[in-house]
Order: sequence, then structure tokens, then C-alpha cells
Amino acid sequence: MKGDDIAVTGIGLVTPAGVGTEATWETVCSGTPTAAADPSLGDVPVPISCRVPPFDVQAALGPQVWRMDRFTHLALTAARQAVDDAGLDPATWDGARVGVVVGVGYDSKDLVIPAVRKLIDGAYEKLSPLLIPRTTANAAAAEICIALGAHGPSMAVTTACASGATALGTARDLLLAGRCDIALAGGAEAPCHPLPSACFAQMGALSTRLYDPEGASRPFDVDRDGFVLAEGAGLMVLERAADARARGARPRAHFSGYGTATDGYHYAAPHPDGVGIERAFTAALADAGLTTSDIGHVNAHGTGTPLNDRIEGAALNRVFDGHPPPVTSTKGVTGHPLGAAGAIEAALAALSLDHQTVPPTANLQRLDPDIALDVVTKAARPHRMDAVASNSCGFGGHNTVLILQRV
Amino acid sequence: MTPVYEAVKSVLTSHFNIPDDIIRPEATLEDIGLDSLAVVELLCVLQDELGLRVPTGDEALKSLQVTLAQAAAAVEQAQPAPVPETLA
Repeated sequence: MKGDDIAVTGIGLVTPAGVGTEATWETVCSGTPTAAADPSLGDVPVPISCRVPPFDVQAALGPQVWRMDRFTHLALTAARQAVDDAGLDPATWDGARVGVVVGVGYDSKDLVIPAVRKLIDGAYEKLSPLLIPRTTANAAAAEICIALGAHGPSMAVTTACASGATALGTARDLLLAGRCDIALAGGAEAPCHPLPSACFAQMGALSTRLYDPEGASRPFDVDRDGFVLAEGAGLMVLERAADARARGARPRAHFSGYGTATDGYHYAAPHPDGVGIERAFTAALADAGLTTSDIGHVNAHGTGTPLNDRIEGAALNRVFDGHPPPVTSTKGVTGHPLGAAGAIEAALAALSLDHQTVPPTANLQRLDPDIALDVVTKAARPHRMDAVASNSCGFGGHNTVLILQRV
Repeated sequence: MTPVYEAVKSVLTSHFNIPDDIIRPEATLEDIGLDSLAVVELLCVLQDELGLRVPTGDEALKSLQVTLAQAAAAVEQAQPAPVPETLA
């Protein structure tokens, strides 16, 4: 273990699989899909989504919820969970040494359509002054800083559907550079709205399995036909391992590797040879000082689109020289929470290490014969592992790999 | 109180989650925790609900020391919204 290693000391999850880390983990391990018909999407072509179970946002966050958008509600709720899990008290910490990095892919559009209507009507005095502060990508990071008294470096990072993973990597860099002592990092997204839903449908990215919403998110299955839009947030508390030990914290995992690379090829499609995934993986392994034989499990990006899963499968095969470890895509349960996905999946990878268990890929009935991976399906698989990798890919060719090691 | 005051009170509880017991006619905007952006937001929601158009730069609503009764009176003096002219 490297002396300057970074520890994951707290996890917060607000996902379609549950409000809370244990609730999410249990649902993910049960392999129960969360996709369902979503009447709030109206008459868009694909009215299916994965929604976070109802919870009392005001009870969780206080009376200021009116000034926050849905993705900020989810992010702040997960952030509070993560801080509690880490055993930290924001009332006593040195806020100047606390950083916040939140990845956001597309943010919410709830306010935009009414605003455009008012603009067309020339009713400028009716435009909400909150449209800008509620919808800018940094809103979640800013509100977390206000709520928790974090006054160190803070920012939003965006690499489309790799945003949550890139945020965690960025936070790790901040800690290693000594720019803060505690970092709250992860991702949040609330895209279950007719506008992004209709636009992703126009791209042909969504599953159109309207007759079987529960079966719509089926990563690596031969009958997959796209992803299911999902909302959620995953936040983690990161600290230098020595600091965590000094305060008596029990790290859930060591965050030992971060690699990122860009295809530079296409604005939406991954590079057909998966070169960016390979580069990111190689960089993350080098960062962790590990080889592929050390990696016991990969939490794949696995969106369920025909293209992603085939290219990712081939890339993982090349990285692992034809012998990849057990792989899962938790998107079979959670759907695809876009900019939050990488953070939620990194948290689930940390829990896999903790529980020595690989969750199943829901809805995988027949593995695509072109994908030569050992994809865990049907039931959670007990599995001995000392290190795991979480892979994320985003439109624009962003690839991020995170490596976590057992404590 | 006036129907407009009742509308203000309703928006403060439903939109801003402000506890009912601190919403009193003599309470100032600051007393109930609003800042300058929140006051503009309050006007936006009220305009939608009441079909009025209130200039957001209205001098009567520039100070956070305005009471809720005074704010309601200022909104009440605003004119009903004209029929929208669209660009279509």
C-alpha cells in the first residue's frame, strides 16, 4: 500500500435502488430491475425511467429546498449520508480544508421550458431569478458547500456519462496535491424529464422495450436495445489514508488508481477499437502500481446499448489479455443515471470489496456471443477480490477508470 | 386580510416551505428568511398564480424591511397581465 494512498471513508447513495447505501446495495444484489413506466414523461416516445423511491426531501435537507433543483436535492442528500457514514461532523471540521467535486452530465431542465415560453411572450418580469443558480452545473457543489461549511476547492466537472467517476479522480488529485484534507466527491443527475428523454430517444440511445419496462435495461444481453434513463446521486468522502487512521476512521476501501483518456473520435459513439478505455485502464493500473492479475472484478459501464457493450467487452478482453475477471453492470438494476453513474458504480465497487460479493447484471438472460466476458448474472456471486476497477465512458469519448483496493 | 395577502401566504408556505406560524402581516420579508432573489421569485410565482404583471424593479418591494402586508398591497396595485403577444 502506498504511503500517500487515499481512503474512502464514507459513502452516500440515493439511487433508484434505494435511498441509502445499504438499501441500494441490497436491491442491486437482489438483481431487481427498477425501470418502470413513467407517466410524468407524458407522451414522449419512450416513457420509461428509473426513479429514486419517494423520500421526504425537506426533512432531509431543511426548508431551503425551494431554491434547489432535483439533482441538487439528490446530491446534497447523498453528501449528508456520506459525511455521517464517515463519522465526520461539519460543525467541528476545518472547512477551509474541505473540498467538494460533483460530476454532472446534463442537469435538469424543469425550469427551462416555462422560461422559454415566458421569453417568447416577452414576459421578462416573470422569468425566475433562480433559473441560473438552480441549473448551472456547479449548483450541487455550491449548495453542498453552503450546507456543510466546506470552504476549500470546489467545482463541478463534466465528462458526460463519466462525470461522476471523473469527479472522484479529480478529488483524489486535489487530496494528493495537498489542496484539501477531506474531499466530498461524486456525481448527481436528474434527467427524468420529457426534454432529455425525447432527445435521447431521437439519438436512438434508449431501449424501446415498452411492452416490458422491467426488462428494458439488459446490459450485455443479446437482445439489448439501449439504456433506460435514471436519476440518482453517489457521493463519497475521501481522505488521505494516514489522516483517516489518525482520527480512528474505518475506511471502506483504498482509492488507489485513477486513469482517464479521451477517444477524440466522435461526439457520441465510442471509438470502435475501444482505445480510450484501454488507455484509461492502463493509466489507472500504473497509478495504483498494480497489474491486471491484481484486479478481481470490474464494474463495467455496461449501458445496454448495442455499441457500448460490444466495444467495452472487446476492450476489457484486450486489457486483460483474454482473461478478464468477473464483470457486472449494475445498470441492469439502476438504469443509466448519466453523470451520476460513475460515482454510484464506484461506490458499489467499494461495497463489492467490502462484502466480497459481485452483484448480478439484471435481465441478462443470453450473453451476446460477441462479448467474451464472465458477466455475473442471475444472482450475486461471492468472490474473493483484493482490488476492483470501475469503468465509465461518456459521450464525446471520455473514459475514466477508478481502482479501489481492499482495506 | 385581502385575497392577495392570502395568496402571498399560500405561496410562502407551499413554494418556500416557510412555517405557517411565522407568516404574519407585520413580519418583514427579511423576518421570514427571504433574500433579494427570493423576493423576485415570490413575485414570479404570484404573477403566474394571480395573472398579474408586477415590475420586478418595483420600488415598493426593493427593501427586505417591507412587511408582508405592505408587499401584498404593492402587488395588489399591479395591473392584470395583457394578452400575451407571441413571436409565432
